[in-house]
Amino acid sequence: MMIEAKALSKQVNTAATGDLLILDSVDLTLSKGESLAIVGASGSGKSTLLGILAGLDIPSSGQIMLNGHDLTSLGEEGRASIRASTVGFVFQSFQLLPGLNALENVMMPLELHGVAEADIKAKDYLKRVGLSQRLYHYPKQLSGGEQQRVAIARAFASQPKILFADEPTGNLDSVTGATVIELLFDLNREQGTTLVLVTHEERLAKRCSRQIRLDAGKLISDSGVDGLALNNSALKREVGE
Amino acid sequence: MKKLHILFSLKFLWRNWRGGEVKILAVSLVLAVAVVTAIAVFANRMDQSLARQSNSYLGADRVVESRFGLPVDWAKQPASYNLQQTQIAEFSSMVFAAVNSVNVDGSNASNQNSIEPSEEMQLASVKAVGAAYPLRGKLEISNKAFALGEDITPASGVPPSGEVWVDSRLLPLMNINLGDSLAIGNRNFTLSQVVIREPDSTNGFALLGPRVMMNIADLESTGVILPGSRVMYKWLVAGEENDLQQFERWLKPELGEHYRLVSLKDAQQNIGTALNRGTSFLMLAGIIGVLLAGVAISTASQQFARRHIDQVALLKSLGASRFQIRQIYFAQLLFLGLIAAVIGVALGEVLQRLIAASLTSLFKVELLGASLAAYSTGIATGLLCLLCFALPPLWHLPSVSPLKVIRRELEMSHVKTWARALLGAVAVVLLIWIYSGDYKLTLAVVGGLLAIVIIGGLSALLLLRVGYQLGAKAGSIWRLALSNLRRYQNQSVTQIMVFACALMLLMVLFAVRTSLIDEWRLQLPKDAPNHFILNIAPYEKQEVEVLFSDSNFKQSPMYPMVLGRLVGVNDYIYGDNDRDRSNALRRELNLSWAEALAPDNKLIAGQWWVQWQEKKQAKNSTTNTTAVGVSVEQDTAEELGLVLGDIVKFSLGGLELKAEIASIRKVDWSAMTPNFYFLFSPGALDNYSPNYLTSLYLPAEDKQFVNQLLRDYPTIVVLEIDRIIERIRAIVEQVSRGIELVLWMVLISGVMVLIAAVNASMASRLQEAGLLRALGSSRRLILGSICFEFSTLGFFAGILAVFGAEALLLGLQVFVFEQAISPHYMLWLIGPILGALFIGLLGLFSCRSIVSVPPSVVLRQLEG
Repeated sequence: MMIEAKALSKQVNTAATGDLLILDSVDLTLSKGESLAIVGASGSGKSTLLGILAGLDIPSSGQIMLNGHDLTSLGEEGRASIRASTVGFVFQSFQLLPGLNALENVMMPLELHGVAEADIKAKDYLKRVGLSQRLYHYPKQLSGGEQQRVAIARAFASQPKILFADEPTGNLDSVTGATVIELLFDLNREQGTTLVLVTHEERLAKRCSRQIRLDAGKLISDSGVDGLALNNSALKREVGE
Repeated sequence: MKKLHILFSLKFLWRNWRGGEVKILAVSLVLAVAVVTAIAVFANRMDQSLARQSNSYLGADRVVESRFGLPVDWAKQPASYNLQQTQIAEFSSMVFAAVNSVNVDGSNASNQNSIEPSEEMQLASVKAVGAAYPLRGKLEISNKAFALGEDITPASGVPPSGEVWVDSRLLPLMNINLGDSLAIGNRNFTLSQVVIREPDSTNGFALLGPRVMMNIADLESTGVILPGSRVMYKWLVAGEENDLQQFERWLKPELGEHYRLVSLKDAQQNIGTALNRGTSFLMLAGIIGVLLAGVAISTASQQFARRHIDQVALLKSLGASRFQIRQIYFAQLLFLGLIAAVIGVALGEVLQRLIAASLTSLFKVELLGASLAAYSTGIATGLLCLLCFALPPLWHLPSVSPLKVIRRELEMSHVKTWARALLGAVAVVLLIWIYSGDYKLTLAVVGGLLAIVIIGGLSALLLLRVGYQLGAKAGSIWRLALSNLRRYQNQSVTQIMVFACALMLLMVLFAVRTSLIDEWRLQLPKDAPNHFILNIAPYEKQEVEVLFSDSNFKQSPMYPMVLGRLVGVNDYIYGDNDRDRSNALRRELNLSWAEALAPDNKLIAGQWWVQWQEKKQAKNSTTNTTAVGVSVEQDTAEELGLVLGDIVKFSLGGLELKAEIASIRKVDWSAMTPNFYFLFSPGALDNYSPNYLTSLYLPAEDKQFVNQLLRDYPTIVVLEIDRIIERIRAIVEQVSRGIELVLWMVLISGVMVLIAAVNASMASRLQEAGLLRALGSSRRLILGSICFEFSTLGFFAGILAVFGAEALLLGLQVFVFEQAISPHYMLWLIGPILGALFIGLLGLFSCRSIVSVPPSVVLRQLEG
């Protein structure tokens, strides 16, 4: 199993609303090579779940195993080490460093982990995403789609076992979004990466082998699990729509 | 792994530099190091050179004085420390003119046997000098009495055996000429040259007899030195400072009570004061430069940290550990610090060389090299600034949550503001302490800064509120500007404080510089007395006064003066062993009386005559209240342990005079006016046939007046202090020039602070302006509002800065420079206006691009 989450809950305390349950006893398993789309309305807890699964955050209760490591028993340093060896990210806002050109942005994680010939590898990945002519362009000189392609190249260059993508097409128009989706899945297939993505887009969710839906922090449907009760009132409301 | 991170950090540093992220931080650091290096090195060079120059007043680098000859084994020591040495013996002796008798055939009979003693004799100040005299400075002689200009030549040695060189005034006094013979004790000498100037003859009041200089090898043959004779032996030593210090370490334990090491302070108090204040100013300028750079570094570092939060979150999401992040940023900062330190030191070196070059070409002074310690001060400053100003804002970076990559709105923990402020304060105190070693200066600067931070913060808030309310009634540009300031209240208050600190420090520096230079000029105005006329007999007094007023020379009042020896205090009689305690016991003193306290004298204990008498009367109405009172100079009183109420006894030409100490005075020796160790109550000296003393300003072109005066009144003594004044003026000019240049460097630091502070808020302002532009606001509205916004900040900062500057200046005037307290009206006008104008323009300049670039691009750039 690549991901095994048991009874994940996340509660936060805010000055405005007091205790707030963002995730409510979510169970989830994901096999190697599977692709999973997390869908749901805004504020349903999608990004929180993604953050916890990726080891960026910790649950208030429950357990999460990532590639055989118990993230909940690890400290921040331990989780960082797992992220370094296992995880890649693609973000909605691309998260490219503005002072670095495309090549350097892709090289950065490779250099951080001491990978040899980082520049050759980075150039190769930029070529694969169709940006071999844009190696030395800075983020502000690239279009949104190009920036996300750089981000995809950066994510795959360190050959992660599992890739987390948070609304990867959220900031792109539909045509550009479609190109980026193609690229993401092509590379995913090529490298046999496990993919977890959060999206609003049905089109993108359907490309994944499995979809789960969250509502108010609860997992209300899982296309990969038979017999999941559809008696949740929120779901009924959504189905009704 | 570590090597990897260093490499990674270096690459990151380079990329950050290229992206403009670290430029202001780096420039501020370079500037801090450069300013400090330039000031430290220049001050050090000037200090060493002036000390060397001033040493010419001693005729050596170190002088040991004693009434006893030099112990034989001491003379071997200087050579072992690579030092030069020579000896001098000074004493008073009667000299006799021995006019050469002319033979019948008209030829001069110059051998000793044919010389006949004449009636002419004179008490002279004889100085027997060793071959190497003087070790520092120059002896100037002439073959014409009262020579001026080109007739004066530097001596290439000392009087050869059998010859003496004499003071010009001895010739008319004894009615003799060069070539004649002069007898000292058993020996006749040929009078071969006139001594015009000796480097070490500034202690002129003691030198009442005209100078006769002879070779020390001839001393024994005169037979005038007998056991018990009053002779002052001086041992002159010169060489490199390090060797001198080692020599001093050997010497000091050997000195005992009869040998005294003469310091430069004893020899030249007036130059010392100018120099000390100049150095204090340079210190202050250095501190202010570093503080400004510190504020710039801190602001730039905060901006750097803010912009790097996303970068750190990203690195952490990619698996970088907290430790790695700390390593990466610490290494970046360290590299930056080292590179900045090296460039800063180089730049500082160039700057100080420029200052030195401009000085040496102007004043033809030779500046010595600086010590290595001065350079290391610069580097140490850079690293301290980095540690205390740049590191704290970055400290929290490793704790940025990686979750921030997907949840941008996450709050993050910062190093507490009070902790950063405390660290900053520690750094400020440390830096000031390192530079000045002066707790008063440290307290004054820290106090001023504290005042501006506490009072300033509250006032800034108040000003913003008042401004906002006024703005609500104003036009759209003003309304927008003021509501912006109100909206970003915390940021605006911080910016006002930073601007105010920078403006305050710059104002202080300008004000101190102006008042120091003005004060120096006032202290030594162009027509300051440059000649002291002593030994005017009572019957000559009126004639001389008429002569002076006829010649239209500016003259001070005539002071009565009686020579007297201090013989005891209360029941104690001073003996031979006490003579080494104070200058006042080694020679006859010039005693005077005065009705009123001179303006350059300050009473520090006791009362002046009238109050003193009244107090005595009130205390005991039966005692004799007509007792003589005396006011004692502070240092002399300390050396002799004299306190108010002590009865001091003087011997004045064999007559005894008792006086009660009525007051202790502090004397400003830097004022070129007659001053006395002991000043009596009016009329106390009337029965001791006083001579008179005055000072006079003689323009250079009227210098021959001195010759005329001495020919007509040979018993009068003229002390030519014009050369000393000239030297002081040159030094003051030199220090002032250095101050001006340093001021410019500090100004650049100030501008850096302002740029850093403007830049710090630029992102949010740009974003807002971009949005307004997108919504269709006119170019005029946006630029106008930005300009007003910054002008208002500058105006408020200017007001606060004036308050802070006045507080700081008050402290500096009272505790450090010991000047009179005076408000600085110009600052009140200039401060707010200049603040508004300069900061408004700076804001406008920084934001100019947002109206020329399409709003979409502005907004997108900010997003990236």
